[in-house]
Amino acid sequence: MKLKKALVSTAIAALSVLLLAGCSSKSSSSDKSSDSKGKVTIRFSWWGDEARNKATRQAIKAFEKKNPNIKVKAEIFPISSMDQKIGTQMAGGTEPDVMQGLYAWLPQYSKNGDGYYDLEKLKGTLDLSQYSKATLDQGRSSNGVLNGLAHGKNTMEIALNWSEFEKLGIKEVPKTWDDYVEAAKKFPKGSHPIINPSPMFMVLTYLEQVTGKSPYTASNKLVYTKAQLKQGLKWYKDMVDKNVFVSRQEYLDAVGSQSLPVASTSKWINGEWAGDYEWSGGLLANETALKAKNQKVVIAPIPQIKGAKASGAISKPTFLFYISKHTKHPKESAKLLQFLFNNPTGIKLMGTSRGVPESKIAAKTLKDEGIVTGIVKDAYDYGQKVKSIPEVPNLENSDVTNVWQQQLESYELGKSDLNATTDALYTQLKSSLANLK
Amino acid sequence: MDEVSAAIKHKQRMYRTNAVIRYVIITVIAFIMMYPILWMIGSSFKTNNEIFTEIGFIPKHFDFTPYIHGWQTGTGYTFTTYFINTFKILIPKVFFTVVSSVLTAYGFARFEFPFKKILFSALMATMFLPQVVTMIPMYLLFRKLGMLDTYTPLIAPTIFATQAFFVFMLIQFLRSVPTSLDEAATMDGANSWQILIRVLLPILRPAIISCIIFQFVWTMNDFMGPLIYISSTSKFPVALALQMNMDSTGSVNYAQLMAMSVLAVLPSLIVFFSAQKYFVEGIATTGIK
Amino acid sequence: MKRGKIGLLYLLPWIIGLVIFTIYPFIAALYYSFTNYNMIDAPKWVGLQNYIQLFTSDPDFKNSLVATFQYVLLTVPLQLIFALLIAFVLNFKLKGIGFYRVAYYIPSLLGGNVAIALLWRLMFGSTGLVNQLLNMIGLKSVSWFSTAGGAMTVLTILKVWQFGSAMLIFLAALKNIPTELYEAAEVDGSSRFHMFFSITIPLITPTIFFNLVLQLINGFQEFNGPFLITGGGPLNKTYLASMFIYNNAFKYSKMGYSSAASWILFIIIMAVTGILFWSQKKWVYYSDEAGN
Repeated sequence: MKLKKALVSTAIAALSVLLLAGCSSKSSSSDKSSDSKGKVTIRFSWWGDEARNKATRQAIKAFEKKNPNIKVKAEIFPISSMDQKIGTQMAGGTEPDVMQGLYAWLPQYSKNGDGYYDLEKLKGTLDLSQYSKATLDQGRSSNGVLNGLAHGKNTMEIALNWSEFEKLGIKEVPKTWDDYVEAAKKFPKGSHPIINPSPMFMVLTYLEQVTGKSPYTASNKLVYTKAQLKQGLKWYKDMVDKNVFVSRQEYLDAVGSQSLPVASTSKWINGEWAGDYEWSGGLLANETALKAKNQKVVIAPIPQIKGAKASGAISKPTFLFYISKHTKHPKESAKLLQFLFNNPTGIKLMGTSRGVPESKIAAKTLKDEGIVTGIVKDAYDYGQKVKSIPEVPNLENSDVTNVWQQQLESYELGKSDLNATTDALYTQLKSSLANLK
Repeated sequence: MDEVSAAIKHKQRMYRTNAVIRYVIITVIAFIMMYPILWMIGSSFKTNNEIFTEIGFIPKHFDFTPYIHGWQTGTGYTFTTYFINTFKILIPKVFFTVVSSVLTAYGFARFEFPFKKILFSALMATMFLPQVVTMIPMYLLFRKLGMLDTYTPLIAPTIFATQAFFVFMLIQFLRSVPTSLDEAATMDGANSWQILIRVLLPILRPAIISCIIFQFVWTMNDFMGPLIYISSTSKFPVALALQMNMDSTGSVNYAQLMAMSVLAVLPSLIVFFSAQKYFVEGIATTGIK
Repeated sequence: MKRGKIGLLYLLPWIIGLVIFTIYPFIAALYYSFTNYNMIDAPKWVGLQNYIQLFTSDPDFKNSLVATFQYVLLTVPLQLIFALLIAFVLNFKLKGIGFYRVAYYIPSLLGGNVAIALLWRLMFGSTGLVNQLLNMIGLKSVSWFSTAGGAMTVLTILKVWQFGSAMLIFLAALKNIPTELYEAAEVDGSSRFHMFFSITIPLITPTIFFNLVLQLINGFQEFNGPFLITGGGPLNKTYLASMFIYNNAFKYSKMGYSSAASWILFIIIMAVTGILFWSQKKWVYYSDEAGN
């Protein structure tokens, strides 16, 4: 009987402690973000490498010094699991006050512009005049609410290991696809001028040149016809057959799944893959990897087909910075963004750890300070120079990119022929896009 | 006489050759098993390029800067913080798991009660549903309880033996212990609690040590749980801190990552090494009834 | 007090936990499976639509079930046999056996460490260590990641290599076998091989059963391997069910759809486990009901 009592009371005690702890900390957590002295705490989340973490932390410190009544709580999380982190937080309404986010999160979590805070309400604190209209528009939801602040411009660019090209006796940076075909002939077996870690982008670049249009409309409709898709697939396969592009099989065998960046493969380091079609934001790693061997990396212009109707350059914001719609401190959150991107002290501390910012004052400050150098500068300059069609945020919707990847893979690995692939690609793209509405 | 001694000699030689073959085989397999950790240790002294272009594990030079720099991290907190955080989760979790799982397993293995079959099925069924889909409801529950960004959501469930794996394992072990032992103790006037503590716990020792090892290792490696419930970087455990510096779009210093991975495995390795001795001890106490 | 009541008393903490931490999330997940829950908007009831879609118009799901069954059938027996044999060897009183026990458990200590993901891709890469070894003994290189068979083999090797947990459980069980039994058999002149089948195996059937059930459940829910190494490719041939569930939940924000897939997996695992439990009467021997 003693035992029974002991067990029951232990269990009840444990449960009540659990529940009490729950209730009490709940009441305290609701006003945890501001204490009696009027000091407020805002949460700021991002992901990044060591350099970015360091730079951001220093900028936060400077911000806290300037605004002694605001404390910024850093919430850094791993990129590999960000879908899960943000998904749970959005489901629970517990997302941080300020978030570094993907472009694709805009439609994913704010279909009608009510998923995040409306930044235009914070105009007084956040200086929006530093951004061009086109830049601001990228942060607008489908019905025009300014939900996100675009940080920089990310452009798909070709980075060439130029030392490798020179070694093969190629004197000039190829300008047309014919030049690349000629160059490929000089490459030894197993080596190629260009690797496409995501072949989808290369096909889209080609099709944008053919049609002069981006693939999807703002209301998520497929712009290209079946015949055009077929033309794109055929062209891509042709370039693979001519050894210009690395085949999917070779890529998979060398890398496994897609999560390993090209820059850290032995193929890139050893010069067997001498060019990489990537987002400009990631190209620094390509340069760093070859520095040890004193090899030179250059940005090559995207080749134009005959009668191209557009440059084919694909661009998107590197990140959008969002403010939570649940925030209790919108003004303080806006102050933080203003400091990080539009205040010279903040700008210098943040440096190029997230690429070159679109904010006019930030771009100017960094250039004047000579902080933008090497491949980052070349990539930035090319991105500014080239005329690109702005892409819709759903360009990189996981469901849509998955359709491309599956179909291109099954075509290249010989599981389905050109016609079957085109049919499947067309119908699946349509249905995936329809699901987004 | 000669024949006998020859036979003995022959047998001895066979034993020796057998022993040699046995050692060769288990050593080769041991090397394959250990290769990854040797590679990790080796890589912690290599440059990024060496890591990706050379598969051998012996580095060209030894330089401990990756360990020093890696320990500092760029996040504002050193690995000292992350290790302390890990142990704040780990120690209560291991303790509660063992206590609650032993009690539950004892109840299932040694008592008859109404609805036993249904309850046992419920125990098993808790392992069948992928955690991905229970994550959101659990998260919402802990949000309602106001326990987000604390270690409570990670520890509290273990008080209630929610990891059926441990319960099931202990049940299986208890079931291979003859009930005659319990009966003898009952004759001597012991109650059920005393039977558990005095008779069964010593026999269960190898199984309990397995529980401790498993929970220790799994908690060391678990980053999904902390990822969901912990937001503040200052409260991260080691497993999550390791993942954090793996931004594939940025420049990753792999030597530092490997260095910290090696250090992250150390506690598990030490615990396992010291615990495996008790398996040997287990024979002496339980072999003789 | 009645024994039955005492038994329930020992279960009390677990029963409380069952109600709070299991039944509630299970019911929530079941409810979501009949809705279009996307984690932001309130769930809308859609009836059986998710289930119908899974079975009739989603080739990926069928694909993932096939891949999962292949994976389970490959890995579970291999891992169990390997774990049991190694545990048997490590149970001998050999010099330095402690070192070997640790060495064999190392892979399992690493779990889903990022280093593992890197190493495996390097080892099985086109010019990786494995292909180099194959070439050395005069065999051709294998395309590990671009062929379905290759990718599945890599995942199988990874799983079998992390056999430590199963081995440890076997080892603990082997420790409980009274040494007199072996001694008696040795006197009778039995070989080690013979003893393994006549003494060891019959005595540890409860542990074999336990490991089998556990490995099956884990196998059906395997996530780390494809997530870290193959990404589900090539051509979705290693796109296991748990990855399908994860992607739909968090990548495509289709929590309702993902929950439906989870419940189908739940039923499959339940059926397989049910069959095993039913079969144990025939081959599992428990001391507590032997009546000795």
